[in-house]
Amino acid sequence: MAGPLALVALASVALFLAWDYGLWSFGSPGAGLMPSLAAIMLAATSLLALGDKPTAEPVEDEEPDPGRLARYAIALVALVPAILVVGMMPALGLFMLLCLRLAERMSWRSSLTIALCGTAASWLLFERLLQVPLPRGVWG
Amino acid sequence: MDTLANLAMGFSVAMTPLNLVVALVGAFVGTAVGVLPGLGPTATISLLLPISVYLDRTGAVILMSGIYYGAMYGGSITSILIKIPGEAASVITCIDGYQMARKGRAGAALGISAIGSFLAGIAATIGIAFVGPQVATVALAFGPVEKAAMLVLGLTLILGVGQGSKIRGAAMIGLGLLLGTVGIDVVSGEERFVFDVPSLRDGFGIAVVAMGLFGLSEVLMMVEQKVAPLVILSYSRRLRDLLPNREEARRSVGPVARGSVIGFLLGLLPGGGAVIASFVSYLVEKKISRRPNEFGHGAIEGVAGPEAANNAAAQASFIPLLCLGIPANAVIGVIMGALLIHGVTPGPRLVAEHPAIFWGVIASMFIGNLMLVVLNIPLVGLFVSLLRVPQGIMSVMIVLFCTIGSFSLSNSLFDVGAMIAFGFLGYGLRKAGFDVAPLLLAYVLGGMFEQSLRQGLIIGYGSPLIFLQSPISAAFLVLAALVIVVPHLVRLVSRARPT
Repeated sequence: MAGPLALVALASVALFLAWDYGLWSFGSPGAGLMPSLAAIMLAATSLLALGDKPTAEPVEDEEPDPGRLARYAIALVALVPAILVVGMMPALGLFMLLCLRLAERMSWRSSLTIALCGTAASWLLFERLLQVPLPRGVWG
Repeated sequence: MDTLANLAMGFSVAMTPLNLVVALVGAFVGTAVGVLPGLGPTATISLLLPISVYLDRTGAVILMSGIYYGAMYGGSITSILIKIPGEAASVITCIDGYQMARKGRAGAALGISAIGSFLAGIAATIGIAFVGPQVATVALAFGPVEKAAMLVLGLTLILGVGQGSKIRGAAMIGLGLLLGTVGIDVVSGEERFVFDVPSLRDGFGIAVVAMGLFGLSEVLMMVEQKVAPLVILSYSRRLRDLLPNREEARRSVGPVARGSVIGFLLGLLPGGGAVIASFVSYLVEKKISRRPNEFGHGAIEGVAGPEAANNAAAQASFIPLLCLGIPANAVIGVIMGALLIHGVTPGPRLVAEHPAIFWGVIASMFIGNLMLVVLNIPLVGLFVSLLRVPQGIMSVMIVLFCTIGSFSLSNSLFDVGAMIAFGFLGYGLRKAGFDVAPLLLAYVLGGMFEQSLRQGLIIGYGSPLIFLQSPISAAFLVLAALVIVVPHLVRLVSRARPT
């Protein structure tokens, strides 16, 4: 129920905003026409989906591990602020180290080795070889 | 005869040692990219744009086209063995390819995927060389009215092939279309859903949305489970076991042939391309099959048709680019960028002004497809070994690739944040029972649909009846209506029929 309801709410807000952009102006379709049509379609189908049987992802035999998911989710949320502060490669190295150690339960040694190798290889490939100007963060 | 002479000239260009090496590298990297979930051809080709500067213009396009159709081959490997599409065009292969693997027919699924892709690739390349310009001329005759109706048909077909509930599929199409409107309206210049965030003015990059919805959400789905779901199903590496048996080969002939035609035709049309072609091919095979109940449970037709279609479409989508200067999809758009970097403007005059590029690229497709089938069948174990990396390492590496990949597309940290947000959105939608594939497809088609719809309405002085006045447009809309209505009618009739 929560999914379709959230989509109905999103569509309602979008429809409200799109109305302001105008459906028709100066003899031609306005900027709000397409968003309005899309929002109406989203709202109508989401309402119908409330009474519809959800199509669940295929049920796997594995045991759920919400703790592991939560650790990844926190690390992902913290990733962009970390990039802003320490730069992309150190932030990704830190992300890998913490996820491998705290979420995947690997040893500190293995986690550190993989994080260092992964970061170094990515740095060589993207920054040195492909010359992608990766952000360095406020610490430079 | 001109075509044959030009093709011979193309082979002389494509078979220079450097271009052969470039084609091999492109095919190999493309297959590896296709195997690795989360890192699609758009992001990879974008990353390789700086490298293409060091190659000549023909070599640059050969490299990138090799990556594109190589990814079509590679994407099927993960779809079949771990039920994770290596790239979007292989989403549909997950359904029956994985079920075949569970029944111990992984080798046959991998084999028919490679052989079907090869045959379709060759057929599509012949099509490009001989009938490409004529077919492109027909597509060129489509005005905004016909284009809008064609895209309605495309969106309707997406509904037909989406997994599970059609209503939820339609909701995802609505969401995809809505997300596609974020940014500056190109007609009026008005900002839509931008909220004073400058980075939102250009909307979300297709690669950013795709990496989030498919790559990152897959990581979240994977790490949610205690036992690694990234279990690679076992298969025999003996060449004999990688080939389909006689019955499987017989059942695959029709789907490969139909998939090649569907892929070629949809690849020609802007907004078509490999993803839609694979979905449409699956839908067609399911509709005409004598054993529709087998679909979803390991029908080889559900692998052979879509795999042939996606490869044929990938190749055919070069026709609008090379003959008309219209990129049919995001990958081709990036390749167009590479040509522009080299001072070549793709379009109708390309064939006359730069014949070496046009015919050299076509000839390289023959060679590249041959390289791919040679690479894929015996070296499938090597590519699969990429998947033997422990799930934890795979997960963090996908995040790493997605993060750097999304950043490098426009050197924007905002894109990284957007990619992560789309990852959480995709995860949430999937957990709520929504299939995200229609969302992405609608997002890709949304901009083009809006433009055609608005132009069509202007032509019709605001009357939507304009879409019924053009015979081609009306035919597309009737087909779209049939796609929705016929399955319901068939269901009603079958219910009414006494058992």
